Amino acid sequence: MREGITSRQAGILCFLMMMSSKLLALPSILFQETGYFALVIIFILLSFETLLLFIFIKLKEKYINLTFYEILSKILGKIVAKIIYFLFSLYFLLAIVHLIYDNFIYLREAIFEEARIERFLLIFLPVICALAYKGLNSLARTAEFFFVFIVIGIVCCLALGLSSISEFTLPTFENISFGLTFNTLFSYLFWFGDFAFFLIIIDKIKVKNGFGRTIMNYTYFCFLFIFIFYIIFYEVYKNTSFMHNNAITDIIALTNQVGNLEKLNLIALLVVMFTIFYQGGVLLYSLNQSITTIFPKSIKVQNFITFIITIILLFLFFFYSTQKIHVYLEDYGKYLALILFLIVPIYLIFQIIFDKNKKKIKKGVKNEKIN
Amino acid sequence: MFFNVEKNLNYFKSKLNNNFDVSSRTIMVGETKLGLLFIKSLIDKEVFVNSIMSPLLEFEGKNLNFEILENDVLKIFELEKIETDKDVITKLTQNNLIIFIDGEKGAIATDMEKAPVRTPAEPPTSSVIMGPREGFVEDVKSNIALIRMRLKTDKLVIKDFEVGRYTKTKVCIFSIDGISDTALVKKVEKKLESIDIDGVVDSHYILSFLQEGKGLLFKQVGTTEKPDIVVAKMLEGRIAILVDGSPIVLTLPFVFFEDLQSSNDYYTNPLYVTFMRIIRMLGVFLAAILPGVFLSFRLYHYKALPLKYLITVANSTQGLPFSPFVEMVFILVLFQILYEVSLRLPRYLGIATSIVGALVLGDTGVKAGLISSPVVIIIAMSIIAVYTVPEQAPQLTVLRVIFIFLGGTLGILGIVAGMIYFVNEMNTLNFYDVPYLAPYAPRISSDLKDALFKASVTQMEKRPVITKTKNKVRLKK
Amino acid sequence: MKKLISVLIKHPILIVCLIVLIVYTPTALLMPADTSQRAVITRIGIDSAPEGVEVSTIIFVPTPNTSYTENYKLFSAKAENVSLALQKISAYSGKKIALNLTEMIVVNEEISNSDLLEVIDPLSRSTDLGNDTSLICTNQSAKDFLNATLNLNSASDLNIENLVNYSKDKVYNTDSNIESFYQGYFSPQKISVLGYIELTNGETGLSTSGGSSASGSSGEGTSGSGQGQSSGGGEQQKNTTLLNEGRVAVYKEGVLDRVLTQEELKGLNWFNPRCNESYLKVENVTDDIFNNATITFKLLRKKLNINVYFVNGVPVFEGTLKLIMDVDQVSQEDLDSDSLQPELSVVSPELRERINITAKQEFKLVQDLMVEEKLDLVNAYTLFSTYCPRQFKSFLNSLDDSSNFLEYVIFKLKVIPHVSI
Repeated sequence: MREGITSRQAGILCFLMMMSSKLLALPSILFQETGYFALVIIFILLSFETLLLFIFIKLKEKYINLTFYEILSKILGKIVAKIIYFLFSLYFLLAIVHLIYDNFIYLREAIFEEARIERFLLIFLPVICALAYKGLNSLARTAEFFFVFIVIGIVCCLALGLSSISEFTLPTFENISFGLTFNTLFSYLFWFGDFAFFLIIIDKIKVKNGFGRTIMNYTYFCFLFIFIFYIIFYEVYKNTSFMHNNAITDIIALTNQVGNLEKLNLIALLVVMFTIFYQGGVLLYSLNQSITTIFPKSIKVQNFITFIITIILLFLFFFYSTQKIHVYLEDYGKYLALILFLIVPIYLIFQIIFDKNKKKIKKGVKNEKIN
Repeated sequence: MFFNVEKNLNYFKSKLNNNFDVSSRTIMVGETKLGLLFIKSLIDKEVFVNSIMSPLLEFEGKNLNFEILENDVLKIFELEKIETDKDVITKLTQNNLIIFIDGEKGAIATDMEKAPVRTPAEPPTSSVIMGPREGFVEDVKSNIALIRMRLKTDKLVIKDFEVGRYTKTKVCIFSIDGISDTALVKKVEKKLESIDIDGVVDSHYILSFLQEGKGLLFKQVGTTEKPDIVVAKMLEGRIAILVDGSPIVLTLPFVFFEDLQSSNDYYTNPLYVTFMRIIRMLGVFLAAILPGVFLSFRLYHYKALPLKYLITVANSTQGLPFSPFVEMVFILVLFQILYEVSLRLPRYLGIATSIVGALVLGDTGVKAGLISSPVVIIIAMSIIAVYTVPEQAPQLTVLRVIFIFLGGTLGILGIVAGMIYFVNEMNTLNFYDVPYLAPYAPRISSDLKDALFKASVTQMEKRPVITKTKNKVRLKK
Repeated sequence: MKKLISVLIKHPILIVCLIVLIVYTPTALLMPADTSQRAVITRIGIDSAPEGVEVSTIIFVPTPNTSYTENYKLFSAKAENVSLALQKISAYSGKKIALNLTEMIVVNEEISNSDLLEVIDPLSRSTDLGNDTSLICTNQSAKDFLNATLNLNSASDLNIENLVNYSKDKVYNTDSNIESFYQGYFSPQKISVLGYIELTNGETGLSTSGGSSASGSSGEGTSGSGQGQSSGGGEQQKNTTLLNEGRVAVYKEGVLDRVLTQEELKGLNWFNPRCNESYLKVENVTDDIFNNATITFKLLRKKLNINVYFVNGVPVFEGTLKLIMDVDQVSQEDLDSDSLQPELSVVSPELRERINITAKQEFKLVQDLMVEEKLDLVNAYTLFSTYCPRQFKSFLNSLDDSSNFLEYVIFKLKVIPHVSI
């Protein structure tokens, strides 16, 4: 059975990937750097990410059935395409390690008091391997199956957070400069490349009229959620926002207890737990696809074993390092992100606009059969 | 086969090991000698006397042959001329009377069935408050009749097969021409033809062959005991497989959410049905996951429990001799033993078992400090919840054990990982090219009207997409 | 063996199951429940001691029982800081400390006179203890406070946590938890407000001895020797009461500045949108219905609108308060039918005038206090900075001592009362 996902499934994956790590430590980190201006920073970065996805969708509309490698080969040549794919592989690898790191710390603090690394990895890695190994179809369907519950969980968190706000105050932006803004935007670029996976699965999305709109609708939905989340978080904690590293749990910690409802943070925990598996699965799948593109003769099983060993080693390196992974990503990851999410997309934009061989989706394209 | 009647009778008796219930009779009709061969226990004596013996003895002609016998003498509706030895044996074992005519090669087989047959009654697992109460029985002919009574159309296609070297069990595939997917019918036919087994005793034997994976936990073929459900499924585009000797009819293709639908759903208010299906889904989760979650909270995640709940559980479990994991497994095993016993025990001993189960296990065990009441409640809830969807009982029982194991060793993250893993596995399943978790994954909007939520009959205009039927319209407005 | 290996290679998830089975299942089978290895702390009290601090904790002790029973023990330890004291308590109890179910932290005035931020630092850093944990101040020692509340358990609705939760909304003008303390500390004026509950020997207030349906202390046991275990009230239980008279403790830069009196808090609550259920006593009311009456109103709902602006460079802090009230009691020399059953659908101008005067008089008390003590209890600084940043900045620059800015702020309060029908 040929792999292919519907636009709804693609939209759901985009939704889940966009939420990756943005609801944990990032709010407090941004607040520490820029205060309430973090709201503007997050708005700009989310808009940037959405724009990236828009470009990718336009690319898909133009080159309907081609893989991203074929598109790059056509534009830039095979060698450059392989280099870009290598960089993407590096990005996915770092993104997985970042995901594991952030969520291990979070779960250890929230619920697993004596969690050890090996136990967490033993649970997490096999399942994301299974998700990635079994193919995109089943991964997308599983995400589709649990999507409603995840959204309900997020809405509950937002609603409970909203009820925690004692009074709305207008945020004040102090000591803001263009340099600070630019520096912050650049430093956190790595966190906002979640749609890189979209390029890898670009050929596997079934095309029908309005598929781009469907995917963008889910993205806007997520954008709205995240932005409202940040507003609520900063309104709840105001000037102590920098103290709270587990935003999604902390946002409901101060809920006015109606009827002595206790331990509502389980909702946030479940949302995070479900989401990290899909995020890990998508990233690992994308990593595998990238490596397979660079080395077409590689064997799938061996690839996965290599990935697992590499992820474990990288994770241990960052975990036992003197600095947090966030610092490394701020210092070095931003350059990788610059190439992949700024330079390459800009080139792609020009290609989309100025390429003479334009192909448009014919109207009346029939829906593909369920497979 | 011989021309001589005596030789024929002796020959075929010896073929059937000269069993005591294989009887024969030789009579003279006019100047023709006839030999009658039959299995005593299988034939209807009344029909034998009235429809065979009486007409034969009343025949006034001199000579008799097969043609006269068929057309003018015998007052029976089903007659067949057979030529081979194999056919004689087959027909004899299928409740037929074999008639030999001296001097003629071949024989006539007439259906004389009078095997003990149960009256169609309401199946125990598909009770309805309002709606038909007929259920299938073991006799395939009665079952065919029950379906024919409801599908009075010339488009009904029945293909029969004989499966089992010794049992020669009749297996019939039912489909509706123009609605059922012909590719599916052919696929199933091919599978049935390829079965070479010594015997088929129940439809579950056939089910095993129809499965598209080996040793899988998940159910792949639909089962039902009610003719109205079979007809409804066939009208949606599914095919039905009847097996002689079994009241369970198999339907294909099957998706997971079918088992959340009960026969009562189609004869009650749709809003109520939607509510009940959601309860069933909740029951599935409770049955599979609740004990594992409770165990994980007790062992690893006390943080997640509110204070009052923690106090209750901590007090109830203080001083117990077993660790939480062992206690959970112990109570689970006890409940499963009780369940097995209740299935096999004679009814008049059932009361004693209930007393033993309720008082000894539930009450005395807790008071003696061997087990704790929260765990008893959790296991009891889980076991009861299984029967919101009894068709999935085996799967849920196995999943319960797996999740207890995951919760006890890896905590709540292990349970979430297990859930995702199993749902992913279900999503890789495409039995007969139908996604297992359709219409939710992938989402098929038109099929959502009769999945977890139920629309009224007037709103279900099209047949489900998953059955791949070409004739999509079922309700014209 | 070969078959087994081939099956494992075909289904790698079985390898994981095998590892879990071999490595984790034996320990999981024998592992006791998490709760039996933890000392679940429900309340913490912090006093100052010669060594540094004395931390007292109320720890839940599970007792085998099929009915609901709460059994607590008081443990205390002295050490240099809170973190070391908790470690000592862990050693005394023989279990790991579990802070995630802690509902209250009590500090006394003495320790509040030092930097409270330093004292509660380990508690705020702890990932177990949520920042929504109530934090209150008391007059006597926190240990005595906890001892007195040993009988007030969560099963009964008359317990200290309910008292504080009620007060947050209805009495204090603060959430009185760790988060609100930090938010106040990190605000521009660095002012935090915590609830204040007195421990007295009087007869009014929440009595703490006896009357509880579930068991409090273990009954047996004497007070511990030195630091260590003591059961609550091992000696004869004193007749103590918790007096929640509507007082709050004000901290400036983490140090206790003063404890507001009931009257001062009442005056302050005129600029507080919360604290709905309170009372207003208006004296000398003379209008068409009343004649020199003293009327006590019950305040049902408040809607406060605060406006900050500048008039000729002078900051004005204006509050418009819409009140929905109910007539609760009328004291008048000659009660007539009108005053017994007043039909007050619209408040008379005289009554409105009296209410406004009363409100201003009450607020004046706390306004003088704010100016004198330089305590910005109404968040004027934050509001001016938010809504009139430039003007406020230039106003502050024009002052010799910007910390004294409240002296120049004009406070206006307009009360629009309505009586509910």
